[in-house]
Amino acid sequence: MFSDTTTFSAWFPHRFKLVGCVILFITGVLATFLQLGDVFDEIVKSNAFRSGMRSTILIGLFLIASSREKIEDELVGLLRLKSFEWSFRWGILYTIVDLAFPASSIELSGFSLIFSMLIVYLLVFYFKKRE
Amino acid sequence: MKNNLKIARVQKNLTQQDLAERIGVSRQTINSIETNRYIPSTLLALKVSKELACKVEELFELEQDD
Repeated sequence: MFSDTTTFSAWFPHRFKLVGCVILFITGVLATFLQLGDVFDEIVKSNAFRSGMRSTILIGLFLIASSREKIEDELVGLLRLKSFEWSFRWGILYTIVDLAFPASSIELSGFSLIFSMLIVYLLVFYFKKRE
Repeated sequence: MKNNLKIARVQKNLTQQDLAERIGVSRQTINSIETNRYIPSTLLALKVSKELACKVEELFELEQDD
């Protein structure tokens, strides 16, 4: 049922935001550490490592984006909806550009599309929240 | 839409934080309503008017271009 307070709700409790940040931090530290030493070259260049890193980055961003704020009221719900709108539009534009210029340097993959959409979502959400 | 929320709130000696806590929203939400950046839902408007013991029409008024 729709009501005038139906906006866009977060899935996870507020503490999951911290979990997402920790996952991103650990992933960043691990990736940096492994890339510094030549010893881990084989690991770093392996597809399994790259896929793992990409997955954890997406999981971290998704947890941050989908966790409730301390006070999740109707204004926050509206901001989520607006941010989702911007993110969705970005996703469409990104795909159109990639299809129109197949030889461009933009590499469209599931990861880069969803990663950029999550970044746009978070940027718009926190920018509008601070306004 | 014009609103008289700030006047009504100050008359009751409430801060934005006090009012926000009483109706279960954030202080930013109250601030956004007072500065006309956000129009609240019917539910929130009713909660605010109940808390400030006045009619919704006294808090929110339609303007000519609405």
